[in-house]
Amino acid sequence: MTKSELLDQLSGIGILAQDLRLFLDVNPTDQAALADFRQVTAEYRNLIALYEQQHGPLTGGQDVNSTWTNHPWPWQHEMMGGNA
Amino acid sequence: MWVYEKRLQFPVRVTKRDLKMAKLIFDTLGGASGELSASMEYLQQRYTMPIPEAIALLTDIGTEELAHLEILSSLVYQLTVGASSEELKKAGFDAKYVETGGGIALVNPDGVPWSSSYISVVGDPIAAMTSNLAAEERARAGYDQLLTLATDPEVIKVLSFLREREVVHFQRFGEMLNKLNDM
Repeated sequence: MTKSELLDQLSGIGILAQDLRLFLDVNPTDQAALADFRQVTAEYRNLIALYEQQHGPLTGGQDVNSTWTNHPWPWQHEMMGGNA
Repeated sequence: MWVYEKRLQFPVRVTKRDLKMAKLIFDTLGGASGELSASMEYLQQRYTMPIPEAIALLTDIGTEELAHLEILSSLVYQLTVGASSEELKKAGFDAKYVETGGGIALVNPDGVPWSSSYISVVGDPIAAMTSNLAAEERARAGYDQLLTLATDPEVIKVLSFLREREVVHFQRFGEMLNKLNDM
């Protein structure tokens, strides 16, 4: 998977997780939504791990070299010399 | 506190400069019904909410609106990057914007700086939640307006995504208002 494809997938699963999060904020004990949320957030974490393995950390606290600073920032896509 | 994730909630990949569109999009950044207003309104309303569900919802939507501010700033950046002062002036950008050399300021399309007078932070939870419903609808209408003017498929994709999010937020705030009314 290219970096762009991974970011698209992260975006898709991230939005799914966010929608479930907002639903659970209003209905915190909904068991079906909780089960879906656990599944989606597990998928999300796996995808984050895969992304970070290939393209560097998504959060600064996870950085072990200089990729957090030096890798392209999200608004710098391929055509602009980045690859977000 | 907040933790930053180094990606956009929805990727923005615009390759064609469009200064006129960029100018219009400033309304969603520093305009009265823009994403900064939404984010600040929801986050500041949290403290006086009577139930944890309302606090959770305002935290998560307020945080998402900040991510939308970043998406729109990225969009304006990609639509304007590399434009000369002359081009910016010709596209009708305000003199102050041209002076700042294309910085993505929190102003509306006329260059008026964002103001906290745009937002409603009242202690009464029903009044606050009702204001939020209206805010989401105003934002949705703003995106509808921009979508009638946008032509670049990449720009349309991003604006459509943001419009859809306002609809989701409206639904959740509506459920929360019912919950607060039933107390």
